[in-house]
Amino acid sequence: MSVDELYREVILDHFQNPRNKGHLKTCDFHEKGENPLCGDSIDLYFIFDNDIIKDIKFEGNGCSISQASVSMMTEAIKGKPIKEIKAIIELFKEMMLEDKINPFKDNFDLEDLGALEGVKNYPVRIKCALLAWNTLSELFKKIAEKKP
Amino acid sequence: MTENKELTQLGKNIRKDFPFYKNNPNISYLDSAATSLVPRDVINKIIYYYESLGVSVHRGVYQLAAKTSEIYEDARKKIKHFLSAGSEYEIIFTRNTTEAINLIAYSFEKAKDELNELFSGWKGGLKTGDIVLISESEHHSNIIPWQIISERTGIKIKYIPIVKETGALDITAFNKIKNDLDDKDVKIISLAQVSNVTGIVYDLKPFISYAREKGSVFIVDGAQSVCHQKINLSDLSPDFFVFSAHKMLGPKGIGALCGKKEILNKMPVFLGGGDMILSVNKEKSTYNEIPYKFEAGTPNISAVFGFSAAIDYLEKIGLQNISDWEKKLTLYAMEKLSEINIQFFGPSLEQVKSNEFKKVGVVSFGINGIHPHDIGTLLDENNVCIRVGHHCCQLLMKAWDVPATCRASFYLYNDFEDVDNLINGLRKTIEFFGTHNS
Repeated sequence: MSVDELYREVILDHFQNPRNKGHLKTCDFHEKGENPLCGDSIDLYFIFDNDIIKDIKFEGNGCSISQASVSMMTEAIKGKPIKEIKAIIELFKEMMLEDKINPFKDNFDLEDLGALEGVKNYPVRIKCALLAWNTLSELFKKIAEKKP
Repeated sequence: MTENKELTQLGKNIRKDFPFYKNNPNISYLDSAATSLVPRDVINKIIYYYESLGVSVHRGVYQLAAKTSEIYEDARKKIKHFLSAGSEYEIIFTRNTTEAINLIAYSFEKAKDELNELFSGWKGGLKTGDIVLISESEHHSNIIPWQIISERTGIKIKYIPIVKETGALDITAFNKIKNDLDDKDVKIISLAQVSNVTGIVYDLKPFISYAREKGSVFIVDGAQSVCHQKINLSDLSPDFFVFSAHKMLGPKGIGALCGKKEILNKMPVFLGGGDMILSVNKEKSTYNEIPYKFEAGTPNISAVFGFSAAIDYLEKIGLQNISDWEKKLTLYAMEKLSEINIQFFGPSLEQVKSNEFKKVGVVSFGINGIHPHDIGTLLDENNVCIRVGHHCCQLLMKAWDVPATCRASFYLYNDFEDVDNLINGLRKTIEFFGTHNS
């Protein structure tokens, strides 16, 4: 177990050059996520086109893992329908919380997500990697509850 | 120069007393403000209890029980002596500082006219609009219990603000608060003696004077002070002084409430059960006298034994020696940290050097652009254990507008080498994130 496993190049790249970072003034949904114990926080802004996430932006503060993870997530889900995204959330959580090996290995689109696999070896940091994904799940729950 | 000679005995030279180092020879443990390491003497005393006595206190008529009770009760005397607490004080064993504050809060919630005679501001108990005065830099354990009873009694919590630059209690703001509270009943004032984040030793005299003026109860949270400096309760004379053994080389899960007997005698009971009663009837029972009145159930006897051994050990080394040693380490650490690109949370190096601020071996800091959790993980990789996070002081973090800080804390077994390891680790951390930055 080495720290390079945790802080892979691609993670540091997302941390230092975050994708989709910013604010959406007019958006369909805004969801806030926090890890109060470590002070990681994110704000997710969404524009939907029916079931598809047409645009997503995030603002956030926190450790490199939490901020890289949210950056990766926005890239992974932008332009995709909720159903497909839910499947990605499932895969991601399985990778982080269960003993599943990286399911994104040969998926060009989602390859970056696999870099977070190394966080598993640092149990106290798993919640940092999951923050964005739990926040997204919360939003989907709310959307599902609203629907008749 | 006997003082210097004694000083050189600390740090690396006393690690032989701490079995932790035998099993973790390469670790720089810089998190004693969270919990301290434990010397062999303390561990042996716990083993002694379980191997040689192992029976309960206060009940058995047999000799083993008598001997156990004697050592257990002797610990109370030792603690009182350690705190220079006079005969007006009594020791109640609790699980820790947190439980001690909860005990006081819950008992006060129930207290009505019993305390009128002792505190002119009490006036029949806690009522809507009454004030509990604490500070922004308190540990959550000195905030939450008051919030819980505030929900049920309607009392209001007033916070003494901090001076942002240093983390010190803002005396100017306190004087303004005093004016604002002129027509209010300030029932309780509860303050930490030392901040667990900045390490500042607060001068509590102005606050206790105010408490006496307003007829309020005055509580001192000594969790971070008792381990670093000689406490003199006869001099300060608070109503309560609460602390934990585990920050002063003792076992986890045992702490003490040192309170004035006249108050404890009148306070309503906290937990009910065995040991705290005199006679039990179907309808109503009579309670035992203090300290037993507040110690329901079989206590953590082995931990009390260990607590007692920790005090023996600290007294053998001498708190002045420990304090002098910590100061050297702290100044060395602050000097070295100043050489790299860090920000201190708390007094500056100059302010500590010039004795403008009295400070124990606790240093909080941050590095611009690197989150404390990333720093903590990378330091761990270099065998350096520090605390990163909000240190159970979210109000202080909010006052500073930061989510978290890094905190290195020093104790008698730490040495200059530990500081060097910290600095090397931090340099590597900066390099690691810096390289990837460019």
